[in-house]
Parts: sequence; C-alpha cells; structure tokens
Amino acid sequence: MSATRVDGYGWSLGAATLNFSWDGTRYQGREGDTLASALLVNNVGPIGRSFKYHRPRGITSAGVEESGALVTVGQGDRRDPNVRATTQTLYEGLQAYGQNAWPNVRYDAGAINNVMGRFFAAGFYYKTFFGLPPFDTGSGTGVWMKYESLIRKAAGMGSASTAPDPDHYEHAHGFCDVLVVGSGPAGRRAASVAVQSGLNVWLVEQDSAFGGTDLSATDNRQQLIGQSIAELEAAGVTLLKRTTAFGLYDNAVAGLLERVTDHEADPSPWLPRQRFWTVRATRIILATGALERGYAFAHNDRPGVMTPSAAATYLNRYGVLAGQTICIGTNNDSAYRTATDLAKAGAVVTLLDARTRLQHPQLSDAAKAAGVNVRLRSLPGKALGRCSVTGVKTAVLAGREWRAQSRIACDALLVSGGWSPVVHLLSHRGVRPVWNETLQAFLPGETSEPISVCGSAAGYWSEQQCLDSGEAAAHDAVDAMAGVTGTATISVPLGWDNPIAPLYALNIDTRSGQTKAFVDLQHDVTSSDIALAHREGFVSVEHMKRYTTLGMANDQGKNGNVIGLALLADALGTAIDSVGTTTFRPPYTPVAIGALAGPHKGSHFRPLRRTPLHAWNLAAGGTLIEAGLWQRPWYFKQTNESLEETYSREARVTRQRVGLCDVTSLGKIAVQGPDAAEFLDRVYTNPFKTLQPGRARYGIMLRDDGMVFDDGTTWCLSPTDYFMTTTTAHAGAVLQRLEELLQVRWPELRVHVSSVTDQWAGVSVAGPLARQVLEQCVADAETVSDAALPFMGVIDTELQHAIPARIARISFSGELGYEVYTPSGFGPEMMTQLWTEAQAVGGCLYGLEALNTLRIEKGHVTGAELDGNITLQDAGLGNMGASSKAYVGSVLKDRPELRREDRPSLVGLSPVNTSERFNAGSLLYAPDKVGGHPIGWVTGVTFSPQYDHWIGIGYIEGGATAWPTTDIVCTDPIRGAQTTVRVSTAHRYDPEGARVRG
Amino acid sequence: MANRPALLNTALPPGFYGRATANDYPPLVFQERTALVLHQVAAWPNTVESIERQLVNKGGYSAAPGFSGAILNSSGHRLVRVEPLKWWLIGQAPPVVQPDDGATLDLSHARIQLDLHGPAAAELLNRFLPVDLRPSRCPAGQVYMTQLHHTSVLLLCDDARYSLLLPTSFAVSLAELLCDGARQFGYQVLPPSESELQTT
Repeated sequence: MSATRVDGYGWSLGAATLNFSWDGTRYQGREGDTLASALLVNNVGPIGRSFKYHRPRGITSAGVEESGALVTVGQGDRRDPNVRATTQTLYEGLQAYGQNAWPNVRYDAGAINNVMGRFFAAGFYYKTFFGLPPFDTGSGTGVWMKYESLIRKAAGMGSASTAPDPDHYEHAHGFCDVLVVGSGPAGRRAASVAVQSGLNVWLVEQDSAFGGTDLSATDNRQQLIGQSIAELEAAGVTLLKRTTAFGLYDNAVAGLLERVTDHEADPSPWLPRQRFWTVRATRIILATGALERGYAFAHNDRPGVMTPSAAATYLNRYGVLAGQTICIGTNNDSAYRTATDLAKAGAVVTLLDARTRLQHPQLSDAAKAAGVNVRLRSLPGKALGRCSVTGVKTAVLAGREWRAQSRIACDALLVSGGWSPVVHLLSHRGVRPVWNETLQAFLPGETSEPISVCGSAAGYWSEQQCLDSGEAAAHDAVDAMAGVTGTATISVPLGWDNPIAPLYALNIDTRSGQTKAFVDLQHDVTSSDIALAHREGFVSVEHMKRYTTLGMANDQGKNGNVIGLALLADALGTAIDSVGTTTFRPPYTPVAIGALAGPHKGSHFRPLRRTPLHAWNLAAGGTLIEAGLWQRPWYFKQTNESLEETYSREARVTRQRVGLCDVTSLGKIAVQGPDAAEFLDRVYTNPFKTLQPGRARYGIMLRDDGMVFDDGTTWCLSPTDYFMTTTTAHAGAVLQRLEELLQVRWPELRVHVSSVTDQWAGVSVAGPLARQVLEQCVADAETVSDAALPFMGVIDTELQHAIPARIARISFSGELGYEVYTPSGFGPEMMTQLWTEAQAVGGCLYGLEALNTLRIEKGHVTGAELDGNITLQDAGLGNMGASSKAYVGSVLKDRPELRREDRPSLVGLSPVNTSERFNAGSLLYAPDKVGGHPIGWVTGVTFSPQYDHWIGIGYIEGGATAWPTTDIVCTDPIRGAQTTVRVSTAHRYDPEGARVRG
Repeated sequence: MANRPALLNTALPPGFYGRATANDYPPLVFQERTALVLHQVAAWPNTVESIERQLVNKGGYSAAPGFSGAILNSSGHRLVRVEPLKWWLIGQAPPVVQPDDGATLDLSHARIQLDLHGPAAAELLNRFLPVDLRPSRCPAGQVYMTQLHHTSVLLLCDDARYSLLLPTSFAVSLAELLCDGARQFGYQVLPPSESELQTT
C-alpha cells in the first residue's frame, strides 16, 4: 500500500502532531487519528500475524469488527493485548507492538505454519492427538498436555502482563426511561424524539465521537452532528461516548463499558481507566448500525485488503487515502459512493461489480464521471502480493460460472459482499435473527421485550428510512411507557436501488488447496474448513461452529458468520434461512477483567470488618490478622520479641495476672419474645427453659443430621429477652438457621431474632486479677463481687463515666474471666478504662495467638475442632445432650454409626521428646501402621508456657483411653515432619475448674 | 455519660481530597454523625396493626409505611418498615411494647451514620448502589435498604442530601471505598457532628 494524507479531507483531525512508536520505531500521526489511520498513513505493514497460520495481516476495517490489526498497546504492567488498532485513539507517546509473532510481525518464524497449512485444517488436533495407529502412540492426557503447550505457543494472540494492573476501574449504575445504543442518524433521531416527549434518555456511542455513519460521510457533517448532539445535551440527554453496550440482560438491563482514559497520554490520577456500567432502562432502542462484510476468495487476507466503507472512513474522517491505485469489488451499491470519493481524492479506481446490470445507473454514472473504471460481471478473484497487495487477478462471470480473466495492478483492494446488521445485542436476549433474501442479511427477530431496533441495524439502508425508523422506535417507547398501543408505523426495508447479488465465496484458483480463502480472518477459518466440516458430518451450524471455531472468541461472528452459513447452506444444498444461525454472546467487544472486578481488589476485594477497638488495638501496638472478614488482634509485640515469645508472654501474664482481649467479633444475636426460652430449648442440646434471668449457659447446636453446628453462651436478660453469642465464623450461618427455623419449622413461636453483633463492643478480661481490674472500672464495685456475679452470672451495669455495660462471668481461657460489652461507640473508652487498671496490676493485652494457647491448654474447642463432621461425643461434650427433651439433631445424633466407641474423639497431644514441636494438620498413626488412612489428626498446636513445651489438640480413634501409653506417630507429609506424641485428655489444665470459680 | 466518639475518623479525617482544593466548592461533602438513635420495633403476626398504631400515634406520623416503605414526621424522624414484622424508628425512642405485643431493640450503635451531600452525591452513590436516585423516582423521605459491596446498608434520601446507615463493623471499609470513588469528583470531609439525623 502507498497510503497518503490528502489535503481537504480528514475533518476529525486536529492540528497537533503526535509521536508514537510501532515495534520500537518512531512515527508521527495527527491529533484525531486512530492507531490504525496513523499506521496506514505511515505505510506500516504487516501489522499482525494470523492466529494459526501466522499469515501477514493488515488493516481490514475502521471499527470494532477489525480482525487483522490486533495489536498490543503499552508496556510492562500496562501491556494491553489484542487491542483493535482501528478503535485505539492515538495519543502522544503511544507505544504499540505486533503480537503473535517471533521475532516480529514483519519477519515471523511462525510463518512456517502457513507452509504446513494443509496439515492444520479444522479439527487437526482432534485427529492428530488421539494417538497414532496402530497402538495409539501418543494418546493420553499426559502427552496431550505436552502437545497443548506447543500448540498454545504456536497459535494465539497477544499475551497479557502478569504484573498487577496498576490502573483502577469503577462500577456504576444508571437508570433511564430510554437507552439508545448508537449515535448514527437513527439513534440521534430516536433520542431526540424520546427526550422531546419528556422521557429521560441516555445515548451511548462506542466510537470516540458521536455520529455513527455520518462520521464517514463524504460531505463534512461535523457541524450537523455537533448541532444535534448539542441539542440533545441541552434537552437533558445523558451522552456517553467511548462507551460500548457489550451485552443485554433480563428486564432491559444493559452492560456498558466506558473507556474513560484509554485515549489519554497523561490520564488524570483521579479518574478510572474504565467504567463498567449496569444500566436499567425502561425501554431500549438499538441503533447499532450494520457492518460491511467481504467474501471469501484467494488470499483475501493480504495486507491492503479492506472494506470500501473502511477506505471511505480513512479518507473522509482521517484524511488518509488508502492507496494510489485502488481496485474495488462489490455486489451492492454502497461501494460506488466510496469509489467516487476515492477517485475525487486522486486515486486511480477500478470498480468490479458482480451484478450483470444496474437498473438504476445513477450511482454508476456518477462514479464514471469521477473517473472510476466500472466493470460489471467482474470481481476480484485473487489478491496478489505477499506482505501487501500488489494487484488482483480478476474473475468474470461467464454464464453462471466465474472464470479467471486478467490482472490489475493495485496497491489497495476493497471488497464488499454486502452488509450485516448488528443484531448481536438482541441475540443476547435469545432472539433469533431472521434471514432476509432481498437484503441478503439477517435482520432482528421479533421480541416481546421492551427493545426496539432501528436504522441500518433493522435493515434500513437509506438515510431517510433510518431517520424514520429512529423516530418510529422512539414513538413506540413513548407509547409503551404511556401504556397505549403503539401507533408508529415504518415501512419494510427496501434494500438498495439496484438489488444486491448474493456473494459469499469465489474460487477461480485451479490449484485448489494451494491458496486460502478466508471466511473468519481472526480464527484463520477458510472456506475449505467449512467444506471439510460438512464432509465430516458437521452439518448443524452449531457443530460446524465448534469444529471450525468460526465466529468464536472476541470476534463473535461480526465478519465471517454470514459467509460461513452461506457456504454451509451451499454444501447442504439448502437455503441460508434453513441452516439457521448461531447465537451471538456477550460481550459484543472484549471487556477487561479489571473492569469486571471494578474497585473490588486489594484491601477491598472483600468488605473488611473492623471492631470498634481497631484503632485502639493498633495504637497499642497490636498486629492484626484476618479472621474471616474480621480484622482481629493477633498479638501485641514488645521490643525484640518473636511471635512465639510474644504469645507465650501474653498467655503467661494472663494465667498469672490478667489479660485483655478484644472479642467483639463473636456473633451476638438478640432472641426476644414470650416463646424465646422454648425456642432456645429446641435449638440447643442442653436445657434452656430453666435458665434464670441474670444467668448465662454454654450451649451446643446440632444440625439436623446430629453433627455439631456451633457453640456459644446465651445470657438470660429477662424471661423474654436473651443475648446469644456464637462463634465468629458461624455468626451469619447461625442467624440464618434461627430465622429459617422460626419462619419454616416453628412459625407458631412468638420469637424474633436479630443480629446485634455490631451493636456491642466486647472485651474478655481473664486472669486471677480480672475481678480486681473490673472493680475499678464499674460504677459500683459490688456489682462484680463473687456473690453478686458468680460464675455464669450476668449483669447490666455501668462503667465509669456512666457508660452502659453488660458483663457475664464466663471463661474461655480457664481462668477467672469476664466478657464485658458496651455499645460499640463506647468500646474504645471501655478498653481504655480496663487497660488503665490492668496495666496497674501488671496485666497485658493479648491476641488470637495467645487466646489459642490458653484454650488448647484448657481443652476448649473452636471451629478447628467443630468442622462439621463431629458429634457431641466426639468433642467430649456427650453430657451436653439432654435425654429429657427433643431438639434439633436429637434423633439423628443417635445413629449407630455416630455412637461407635471407636470414633475419633477429642484428645490432648504432647511430644514424647518435649524439645520437639509438631504441626497442626498432621496425621496420627499407630506405631505399627504408619501410612494410609490415619487414626487421627491434629487440629491445633501451640507452645505452652504452662507446660514449657509444645502441646496440641486433635482427634484420635477411641479417644485418650484407647491409647494410654502408646507412642503415636505424628506425621506432616506436606512439610515433611514426623514426631512421636503421647495422647492425654484434652482438658489438662485445671480440669476441676477451680480457677474459673476463683 | 461519656461522649460517643466518631469511629470513621481514621478513614475520614477532615479536609479536602481528590480533585477538590480548599478554594473549590466541593462537589461532595462527607460527615459522620455520632448521635444516631435507631430502634427496632417488632410485632407478632396478630399485633401488626396495634404496633403500627402505637408507632404512628407516638411518633407523630401521618400513616404507617407499607412494605419496604418509609415515612417522615414533622420532626424529621423516620419510620421504616424493614421487614414484614419489623420497623426501624430513626431519631426517636420507641414506644413501650409489651412482650405479648412485640419487642424493641436498641440498634443505635449497630450502625454508623454517614451523611453525604453535594452536586455529585447521587452520582457517587450510583457508583456503588443499584438504586434509582433520579429526583422523579426518589422523593424526599425515600429510604432504600440496599447493598454496598455485598453489605446491607440503609440509604435515607432527602432531596440532594443522603444519609447512609452503615453496619458499624463494615463502616470504615465502606467509607474507604466511597472515598476512593469520590476522588474523581473531589470531596470535603467535615468534622464529625453530634447532630441528629438532618432532614428538611
């Protein structure tokens, strides 16, 4: 090609010169250029290498349908592959690269695939990698994985950066009465009529400028477009350009992708790169236009082959004449106007028209008057040249057959096989397009959804019909929203002045198989592949699609679908409408993963829960750890302490003096109503009807199948008001379960359950000096005396400064302990009061790690032990299952299998050699049978300052009594460790509970 | 009693952020309110009408709100029906309810009130909330129980002023998310205020 910039054309261009680079070489373009127009005018080529055969490719279009100029833009962590050069706005400093080639797209070693192409026909790997006869050598998954690696390296597109994406993306929700997709004449008219009727209208345009086909018009319509857009804006229409409606969903919901800063050299740090819109409209009007398609002929993928409409766009919008000597092949009227434009711009133009005669020769006459050489009954039959078009071998219609005729030298070849309305979005709704023989195109099918289609998307080719259909679609929307039957009418699509001639493939090459005629350029699907699929029995269009990959991936059949269907119909000897069509799926154009994720990444990947003491904990030197969604204090390190030293100190000080721990994350549920006690009695395994006000009780919940679900304490505030605590992990699940039981199983119970987890901040005060600390903090010290607040007692009281508090004397650590709650807002003040007094007696703050140490020493269970496969007996809580009442799980917990004596039961574990440590998750084996299915497992370990060596907790078959003196092998195959341990009761620290009652 | 402190001060320190400068009229203004009064009132299936009557009469409302509806009284307090058998009373104490009629529950500390106003307020909220905030669809007094980053939040609308009631434990995380989204507009954070729910 020898493209040049032409004076007097290119209305979108600004004055500024922009520098950019292609494969490391610097070039210049103009403000307003796309990357494609800038590459074109710099005569850069080839721009891409094809998917499978690594054939050189150039620019084939001027829009989103581009399947040749797929490039990589940016570097490093901003490397963006598979960008259509035709839609990438040029900016200063843009860096672009060819892809799927080595060492580069100009000299690509992978081009050997083209030479070997006859072996790479459709489905070749299905056949080849089944294995080679006679013994299926090479078959099997392992071998296939090796082949796959090679295939993936040889085929494909660009590669994405593996570095974290530095840009930020945004989600947004929009609402409107009418969403108009497409800002061509029909879309703008529809938006105008709708907004003038008082509707709230959005108009979205995927291009960088509003105008649709007007952007490529011969006459400069910039002023006309600008005026109509200004009027729409003044009327209150929400206008979004660079915004693609990529999918339609239920209830008139549209997915939009707005490219906010992709076109900017130096984007604002405040703005997202892209914005992912979910728009809920009452009505949707699709004015999505139509795409010009080519046809399959020999070497129709050579760089320099493009559609006439693309050449018109490059000339009129970007001021780039695609070649000096241009050959055009067409079967319809639209190319004549382009031919005339190109000739007027200075090109030598030959137009070959497949039709035998023109009923209305005005267009032809105008073209001829401009100097275009028009030949009827003729078509380009083969593109000549290798890395660019140098000429064309023409074909002439002799009778009903096309025969090779002559050669024409040219540096650009434009081919049009007709126009395909963009019916993709309607197809997303499951609406099958309908074949129109007159237009040789699929038109939108009927739909009962509130969606209208207008303009060339509905098959209207003339401007006036487009405007009329846009107006009718708007009136339809207005009528529908007013609840009246639609009164708007629109005539049927009329087609071209001169009827289109069916044209899908042309084969004049006598050396069949030596040349390739492409149907789908993006996936390297040829007309031979379609024929092969038919010969091999893939006669359903859906099967043919999957066998050949026609119309798959991000192209979604924009270019090749109609051609492929026509070829299949021809092979089947049937009409195209009998073959049907495949389903176009969202997204219409690719959506970046970053846009799908939006702001939900990094620390906002999930919503974080922070306790009201979060800042206080951090200020006190706490290190936090994630526990589910919660951020909880892990440990409070002092200078030069290791983690082990830190939690050992915290546990030791708590045992000897007093420790404070933020326990806000425990689930808290208000259980209220006259039947609350009855409800709790049915939910928990142990009796709750007897629980008196001012008392708390530990309870276990089972699932229906008898397995332990959750545990916690429930505090009786009054006969109709209870305060339930759950584990942190199961708080949500327990509330859901309680709601389900009340709504479904026992609706007669007058009970309400409500989460109050966020209402209360909680601190555990544990240790022999706990009461002493508490006495200094409550308004009346007597309220926490042993008599007033015995073990498992509950009081509502006040801390200093009249802060309301709810205190229960319960212990998870095995020491004298209290859980103190205040309304969340007073949490920091509560902690400050407690810490002041705890510090005064040599106390400490402790975190989850020390909490774990204390509870393992004591033998208390957590979620690690209650893993959903454990019964009451397994957990050593068999005496918690009341026999005098029915409760959830009470029947199935007594299944014989669950009552077996040799079921794994909770035990304590200690290494025989106390200098050794072992790991949570380790497996336990009898010494005479190490390997295979274990007899137990370790659920938690810690260094115990109390016993001065590592200890653990876990399960072993038969429990502690079954292995009283046996050395058990404790193996950790993942980390390659093995230790010998002894089994003991889990409740090794203060088994009588004297300390908690102290 | 000790003052109820602000809990969002780490996420929302007072000042100007994003595009806005101190000299601009900020398109967004955030302010935490620290004196939220929120009570839940629940009825039994056979006491809905009597509880409704109590709520309306004691609260000074013109009528009871329908399902998922809300109503504003002349003092700017709101009565929101959050579930078929539950109401949230915002800004005022609940009536005395006998156990045979229902139950009341103080949730004042279970939510953090974050106020938001300015020309870009609705636009920012729609970056996160799938609710129709067009003036024609969102009259003053409208309330939405919706989701912000998978978290249940209550949105109170009052012309172009909004109040978000965020679950206390999620509030900092959600406020950070809102601020990230607000940087493109520019925003101001006002010092926390003890003022009760601001309504017109």
